[in-house]
Amino acid sequence: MSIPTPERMLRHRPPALLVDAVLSYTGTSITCSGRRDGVWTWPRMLEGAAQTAGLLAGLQPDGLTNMAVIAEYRGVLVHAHESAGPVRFTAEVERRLMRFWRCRLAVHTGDTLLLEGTVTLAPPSDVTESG
Amino acid sequence: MSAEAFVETVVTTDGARATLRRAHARELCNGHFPDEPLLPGAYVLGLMADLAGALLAERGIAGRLAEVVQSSFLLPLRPHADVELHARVENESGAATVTVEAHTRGRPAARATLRFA
Repeated sequence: MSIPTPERMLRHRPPALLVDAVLSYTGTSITCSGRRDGVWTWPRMLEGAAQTAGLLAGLQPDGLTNMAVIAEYRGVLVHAHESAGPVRFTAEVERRLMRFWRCRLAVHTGDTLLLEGTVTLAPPSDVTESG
Repeated sequence: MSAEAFVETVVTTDGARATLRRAHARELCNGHFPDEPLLPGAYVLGLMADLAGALLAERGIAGRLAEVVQSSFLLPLRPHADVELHARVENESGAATVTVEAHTRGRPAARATLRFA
């Protein structure tokens, strides 16, 4: 399966676009590299991981469009507050409930886990919030 | 806490309140999104954690954010609208827990429970 680039699938634009390239995709999980442009603070790691989940949700059959928004984050464990990178983001579909998609997130540098948690994405008509 | 992030911060032992500086909000929204600027939820959580950390420091509690236990987003947070954060300590025995709400146009827009260790 040919996967469009993150820039084609997401509506984020630099400097907000934090995902650089898709490294692997299995159908229910995806791993992407992060852009190499500075220090990774934990909010930036979380945002990059959420963008990766947005890509994954967009690739699912009957998945979300690039107008999807964040409904919630849950159980986000911050193992490192900052990293020089390079980082990679992994998202895995945990469950779908109606039009909401919950994904497991992880951020690594090398073999070191920097951050993990879950995000729930929703269509903009269901949640009128923040991306 | 980033001095540029907030235009006004009031921290007491009961709670903390801060108003987001609009220039900082615009910076956080750069590219997110070009047609419809929106504060990224993850960055809102970062601001919430900054305020919660200041509140805990005022109460003499040292610690860094260990977990975003739960957070939900109810309304869009726009860079051109006032965004005010309110924090209160829920638990300070063992791992300190702080709840922070973000309000815009007088309405709750996001809330989070943060655990410090």
